[in-house]
Amino acid sequence: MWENFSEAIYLNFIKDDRWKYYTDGLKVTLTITLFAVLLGVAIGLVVGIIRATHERTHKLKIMNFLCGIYLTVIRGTPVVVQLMIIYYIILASARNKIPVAILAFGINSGAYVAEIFRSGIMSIDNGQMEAGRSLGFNYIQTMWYVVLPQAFKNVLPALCNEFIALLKETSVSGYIALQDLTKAGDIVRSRTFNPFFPLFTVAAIYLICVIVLTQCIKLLERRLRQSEH
Amino acid sequence: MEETVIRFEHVWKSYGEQPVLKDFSLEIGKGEFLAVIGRSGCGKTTALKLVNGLIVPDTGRVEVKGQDISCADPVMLRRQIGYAIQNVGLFPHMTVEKNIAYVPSVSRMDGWKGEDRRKKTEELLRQVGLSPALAGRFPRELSGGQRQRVGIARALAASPDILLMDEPFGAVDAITREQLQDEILKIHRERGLTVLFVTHDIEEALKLGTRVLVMEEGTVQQCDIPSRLLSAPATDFVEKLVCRRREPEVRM
Ligand SMILES: Nc1ncnc2c1ncn2[C@@H]1O[C@H](COP(=O)(O)OP(=O)(O)O)[C@@H](O)[C@H]1O
Ligand SMILES: [Mg+2]
Repeated sequence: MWENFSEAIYLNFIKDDRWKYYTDGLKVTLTITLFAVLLGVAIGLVVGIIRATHERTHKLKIMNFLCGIYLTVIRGTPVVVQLMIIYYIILASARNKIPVAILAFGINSGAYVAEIFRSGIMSIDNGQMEAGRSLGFNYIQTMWYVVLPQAFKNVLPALCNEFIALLKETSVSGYIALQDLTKAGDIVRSRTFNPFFPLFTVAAIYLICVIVLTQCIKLLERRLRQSEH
Repeated sequence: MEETVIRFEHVWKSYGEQPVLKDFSLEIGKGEFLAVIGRSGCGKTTALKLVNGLIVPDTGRVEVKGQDISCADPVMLRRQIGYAIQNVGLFPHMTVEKNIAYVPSVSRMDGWKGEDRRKKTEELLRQVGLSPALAGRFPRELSGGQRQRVGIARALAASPDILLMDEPFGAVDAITREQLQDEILKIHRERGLTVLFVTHDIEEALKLGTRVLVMEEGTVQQCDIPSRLLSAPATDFVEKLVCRRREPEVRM
């Protein structure tokens, strides 16, 4: 029994430095997630502001229309299909796959983040906008200095959840032959011919990442609530 | 009448199908304290927001100091017009000092740079009857009356000569309300402001206004000095409104 176990550990982690597949894969997964979240927040912020502005003032008709198409298409198709379209068709000549994945997941995440920001902005009383503008700020200044700081605080938990969701979604990166964490398990499995250890290792690593992130969010939320009282 | 500061000329404004202001015309002279009264939903807030361009008329025009505001730079216009918003509208994520000083100092207005900022804030707080010790508090740490006062201080920060006030004393108790009324009268006198003051309390309108404008369903019912409102109400609506006010006196 014990011999079988130590043999399995040896085969799955030690032999040929196989543990490196997991650490390298994790690095790729975290890199893609982190930068895709940043890109998603940037896109989502712009799109969310445009959507909310249109909802409140009925201006920016054309931009709002374009944003609507973006949201419908991105949220109406699977992320793995979007990833492959970007990799195989739009950026077919790209050498480095990581930026491609960041772009694909960032664009995808942006659509969800946009809705988070839109509802966050809409949750701020219109009186705040009117107060800022009547004091002598223009629309953009009021949005940036008055509305967004309040909206951001409200949507921070939702943004963190998006971060967690994205971390798990990047597991389809293997479709463009990127060696992320999931793919790492796959590679080890193809060497050991036994799926048990690689799959559970990968699952455990994702789980640990998510638990750590969740705890961070809880801490952050507690901080925010404290600063309110 | 003295020189006209605000003029509404045949203003129509509707939201969708529903007309809110119907052929609304009005002139307000320099230094006047115009109390605007009417039922909830009759268009008082709309009229106020037309003055600083937060709302644009469908037809007709609004002039401030002789200039059609649709041709004016909205930012420059609004710096001459303080606006104490309905339900206060303080910025919840900023301290009292920041609420008052933030916009003028970010916009680099004269007198709001560096050291001046603190001094000016304290001066304004004193003027509205607040202790400068409150400067570091957040709006949620203030009473309703204190919040109203901060709102007024903030509206005065850019040294406007016109002040728009939208039911500023709606949410405070009777005693605080009376104090606030006296303070706003003092500020009106000392600064020589032109004030547009919306209220739904006829007592308050008659006490504060040099003139009182009675509105109903987006039209001007009567606009006159308080005593003539009482002695010669122009319509049944005005009659009923001031009647309600006379009753307590009869009872006494
Ligand atoms: N942004 C808006 N969209 C649609 N209807 C509005 C809007 N603002 C005000 N109204 C309507 O216009 C009417 C007048 O509003 P308002 O000027 O705020 O009244 P008051 O301040 O006298 O209570 C009300 O019936 C209100 O429901
Ligand atoms: Mg109102």
